[in-house]
Amino acid sequence: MLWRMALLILLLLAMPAWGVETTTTFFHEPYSYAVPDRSVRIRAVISDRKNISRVTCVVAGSAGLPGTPVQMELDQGSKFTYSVLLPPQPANSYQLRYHFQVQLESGESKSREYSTPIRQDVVPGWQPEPAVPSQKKIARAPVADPSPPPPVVTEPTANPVSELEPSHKLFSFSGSLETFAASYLKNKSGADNQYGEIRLLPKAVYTNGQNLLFYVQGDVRLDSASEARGSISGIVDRSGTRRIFDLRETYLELSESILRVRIGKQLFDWSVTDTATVADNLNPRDWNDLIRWERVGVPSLDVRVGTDSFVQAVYVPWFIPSRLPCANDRWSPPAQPGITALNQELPAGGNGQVGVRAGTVMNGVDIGASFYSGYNFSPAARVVPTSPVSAALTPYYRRMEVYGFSVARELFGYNVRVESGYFAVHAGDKSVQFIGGVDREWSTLLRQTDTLYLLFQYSDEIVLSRGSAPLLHDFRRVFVKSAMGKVKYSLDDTREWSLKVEGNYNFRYRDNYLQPAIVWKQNNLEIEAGFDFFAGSSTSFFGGYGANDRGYLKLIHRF
Amino acid sequence: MKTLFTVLWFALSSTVAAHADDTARQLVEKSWQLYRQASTEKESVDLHIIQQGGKTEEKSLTRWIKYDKDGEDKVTVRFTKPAADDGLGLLTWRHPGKTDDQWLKLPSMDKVRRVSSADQEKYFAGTDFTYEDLRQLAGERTTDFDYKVIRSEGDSKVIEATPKAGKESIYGKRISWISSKYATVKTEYYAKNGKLIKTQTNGALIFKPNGLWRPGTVEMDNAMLKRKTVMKVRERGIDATIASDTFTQRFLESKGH
Repeated sequence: MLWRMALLILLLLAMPAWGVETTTTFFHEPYSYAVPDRSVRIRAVISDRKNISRVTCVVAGSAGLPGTPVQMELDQGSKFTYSVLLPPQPANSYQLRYHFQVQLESGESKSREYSTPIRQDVVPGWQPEPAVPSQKKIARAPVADPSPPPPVVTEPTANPVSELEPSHKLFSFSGSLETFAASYLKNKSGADNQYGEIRLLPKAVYTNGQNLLFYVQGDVRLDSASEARGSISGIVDRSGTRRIFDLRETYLELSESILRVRIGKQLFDWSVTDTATVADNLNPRDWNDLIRWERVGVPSLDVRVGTDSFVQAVYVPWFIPSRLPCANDRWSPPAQPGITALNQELPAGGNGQVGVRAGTVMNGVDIGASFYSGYNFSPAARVVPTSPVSAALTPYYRRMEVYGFSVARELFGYNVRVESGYFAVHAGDKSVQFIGGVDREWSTLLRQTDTLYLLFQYSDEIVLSRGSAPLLHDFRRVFVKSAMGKVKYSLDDTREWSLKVEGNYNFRYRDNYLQPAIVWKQNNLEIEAGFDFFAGSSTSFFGGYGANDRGYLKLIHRF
Repeated sequence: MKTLFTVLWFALSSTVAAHADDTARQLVEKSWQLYRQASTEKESVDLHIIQQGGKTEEKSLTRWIKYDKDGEDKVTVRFTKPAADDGLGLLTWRHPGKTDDQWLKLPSMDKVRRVSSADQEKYFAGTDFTYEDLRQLAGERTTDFDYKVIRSEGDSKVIEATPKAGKESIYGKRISWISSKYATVKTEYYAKNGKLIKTQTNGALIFKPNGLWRPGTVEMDNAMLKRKTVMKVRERGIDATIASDTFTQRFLESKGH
């Protein structure tokens, strides 16, 4: 399956750039129009697997006569982008026809022809001025007060700006290399006192510069606890296992005017609040490390219509389970005496999941509404007695419907974000959750250009009816009756040095989590050192991980 | 008689001053009127931020602008360099007389977040351009300022702009040099205590036959922070074809561009 996917990706990457030649690839968009008496700068991205010795541009002569070839030069620093300044076309021309002639070192030659209509009435902004100013009347956007007319003279200083339509970037490659090391401060009895991880997240984007885009983000990670194992076995990976070789996201995107369609493995974040949210239901979670949780991509079809106001619908045909920590792992839920945890149970049929949202901006307010019908990414627990003193616990997933609503706006300089939603979990609780938060960034407080970012958020719920099955750990409701805060102070606007503290306090169980850290950043390198502290009774969520206090060091290099 | 003479003198001098103010305002308005003779604009820009001591940071961004005759402009800025800033984007919808809408896309996040446009004194992405400067780069709200010509220098008029009472600006005053072709060639920014903060120099000016002007380079010399940002326009398309979704949150989320 993996080789099939690799082949598919290679095929997509090998697709010629919408200029179908056997080996030579042309990417050039003719201007929508040009005007006579002005030179025209043409630019094209041309590549071939064989070496190119020369590229010329030939403008068709009048009355079908052959034109004169003009050599195209490679742009400075570029390997594929050629440009040329074509001479002005006569006043009576109605079409600019030209072709690129590519001479390969092997002796072969390839060509491609284009044409651009010539209009007499308007002057496009990108077309360079003629050497001698034209006396032609120029139609332009109306000027309220046309007098006094400014002198029509080009500055004597050289103009270094190429007045062109900016060129499209066909292919880009970037990514990050990340390491994470942690040393646990309590229960230092086993081999898991230390944890180390290295992760490569390469990204590639391929676009035709118009309406088609292919995006892929790989994910290669190795860790000392063998949390990542094996490699993906296709886009639909229902193993619930973190992989050494994985695709974090990969999709094909087609945009046409107000329509955007994406198909592939995708991540969705529909939240307006921070961490706790009601609208973020489509992706399962990787909870191998609860503090460093992340979304897991799902194979899906995503259709979005609209620009400022929009409707978006996502269909996920297959159920993908969340990734839970292994039994006896530091991050597995605290074990109850006599209970043995079994593997997750996956839904057998009717796995389709649907999410729909709509959003608009009205009088400075972002308003959103969402609906989700699918599985809760947080599993419930089925406990079956196996003897008078023991039982087996099986995590399983229940369907639910969620109706959400969100608002974000600026109020007296503060960003105010609110989400609320009605949850109807099958055989589970029916509840209304709400989350409200404010945040703001100030600058130049203690010294020039320093910044202070503050966020405060409160989450709670009203349970309308209780369900029958208990949840293993309802990760979604960890933040109920909780206050969350973030503070980040950067010494200056280069953000070379920053101090930050994040934390959460649950008023019901009086447990809490705190993460103080220091961050150093320069160029593309970022290093963060900090601690994770947990406190509370052992039956509370964060208190249950009281033995997982740790110091950590994180390094990210972006390329 | 002496009193009458004094009254006449004050009346005459205030008339002359008012006329001078009108001239200054007309010059500034004319400059922006000529500048804004475009429906859209797209430019690719290289930024060099030179710290005291010579350490230089290079950034690249693309800026898309949709001009609106009523001032409801839309501006999208998206960074492509360095790698740490790749994908950093800011979308601004300007509203004359009201708070602007602003959304930020951080490279580390998959979503776009609404951000406050209240703190205009913040420098944007480590450059010497504040959020207020970025707003003014597309066109000044001339109704928010009082103007006066303070002198002539060569072919330029030197004009002082001070915020009107009740109008928010992070600067106490700005002094601009406007050339005979109505292009702003230099601007000095002063703090409310009168101290010079920074000097902006517009170079490599180009002029279209209709008077539209653009700088090819903008140099912001920050005397207060002892650093300099040099902005070089690599490519520019005026009245360029810009996709309808460019000024939306969806655009900032997109992986392309």
